[in-house]
Amino acid sequence: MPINKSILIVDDVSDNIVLLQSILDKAGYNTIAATSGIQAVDLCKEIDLDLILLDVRMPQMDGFETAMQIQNNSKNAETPILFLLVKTDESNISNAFKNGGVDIINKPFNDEELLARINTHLTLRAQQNNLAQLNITKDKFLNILAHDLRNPFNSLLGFSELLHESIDQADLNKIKKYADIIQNTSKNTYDLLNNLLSWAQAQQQGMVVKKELVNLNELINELVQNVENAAESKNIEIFISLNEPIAIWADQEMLNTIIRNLLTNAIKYSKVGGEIKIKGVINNNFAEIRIKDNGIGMDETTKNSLFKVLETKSKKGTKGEVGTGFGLILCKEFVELQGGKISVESQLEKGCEFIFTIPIKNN
Amino acid sequence: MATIDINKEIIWDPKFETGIQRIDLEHKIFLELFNSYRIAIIQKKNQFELNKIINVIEKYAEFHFTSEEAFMAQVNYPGIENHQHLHFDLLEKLNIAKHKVDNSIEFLQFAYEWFAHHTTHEDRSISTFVNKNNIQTNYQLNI
Repeated sequence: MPINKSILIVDDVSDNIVLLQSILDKAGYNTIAATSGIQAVDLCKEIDLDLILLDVRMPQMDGFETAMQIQNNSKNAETPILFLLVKTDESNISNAFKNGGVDIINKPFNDEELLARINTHLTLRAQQNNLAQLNITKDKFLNILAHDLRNPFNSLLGFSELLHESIDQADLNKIKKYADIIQNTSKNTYDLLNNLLSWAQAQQQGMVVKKELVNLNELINELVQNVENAAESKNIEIFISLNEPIAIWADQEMLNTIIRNLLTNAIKYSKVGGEIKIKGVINNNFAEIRIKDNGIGMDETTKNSLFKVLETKSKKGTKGEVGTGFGLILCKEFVELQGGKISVESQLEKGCEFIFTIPIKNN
Repeated sequence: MATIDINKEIIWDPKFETGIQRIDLEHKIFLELFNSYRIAIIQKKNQFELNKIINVIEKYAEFHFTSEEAFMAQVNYPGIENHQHLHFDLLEKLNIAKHKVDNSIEFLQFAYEWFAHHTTHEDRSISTFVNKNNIQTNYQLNI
């Protein structure tokens, strides 16, 4: 059965609409009807459709003109249009493909053929979307490899050379300083690489959520310990308040990645002497975790582009910490895979708060 | 329009006559097909068998309309475009009717009325035009 596929039927003859609707409803499609080209164009501006069945012979605005107007609007510009034409209407049949149609349904039609053609074009469209998505993923992956993973190596190479020189000079202070930098950079890069690989893996079909009973209090304590060095270096205090012991059924690895990324970000965008608060509550069968900082915050535009693969860009931290803008994409992916939601509240210069939920039960 | 008596042969009515040899000949085939369908109902043929005859009627209608349109073009009939659109409407109606064939007699009644109405009204206008303009139509002239 086609799941949630929406088909718009456009025909000025209501008997034709009723007939097509009964066939498509029975096959499990969602159908929407329009009785004129103008109505169809308006609907196409509002609703995301998977396919359009468009009668050519209509008064006022014919199907070809309607198709052109639909395709001029971005919302359904790429939605496949199948023209409905009487079999003997040869002049229109020969023009249908020039007028934006991907196929023709001849009237009188045969039900099986009608459904097969619709299915073929829905499949094609879905495959095109998948390919486009994969291509975006690939570009993003290559972009990160080309830029964000290269920069830390410049720093590693540079400081290890300085370290080498300091050893020759037996300058212990410098040795310690450079070794720290190398260690921090390595750790950041390692985190980055882990994110990247997890995300790439999540893109492959069949990414499975392995749920187990996770003690959230322990997990958060452990993750906070891991970032303590970074927090101390900026004199940031981290407060944890979980009202009760929270145990949830979740994928521990994914949960790790989510919280680690949100914590790292909070530190990155906090000013020296800032505060980070972690709160956890149970709310209607969902664990709700909030990570709040009082750092530099963000404007509306940045906020709206945060979770979108195409629009991600990284902003350096308050001490020049680098990233890929990728961690949040990963968080969203992992939260949603487990049936939760993630959102952000923020104001420029006032800090931000990330909120995510995870269902506590195992189903 | 007369109600079809399932046990009576559907016969040619002089009012169907256009006087144009080819068109009349083709129209007579429609009646042949309607009778095939009628007999199949009497013989209690199953839906699959009945659908096969509906399919023949559909294909034949497509052929006949194309043929009649070619004739209209050949004699420069001024109402050709409008007439062609009526043919399109008829095929759309046939499409709707063939999807509601739970009642076979109803389909037969529809098909007969569909034929008779078009023949006695719109096709009559072609013959009026042909007669008025003294256009000779016969097989020898290939018209």
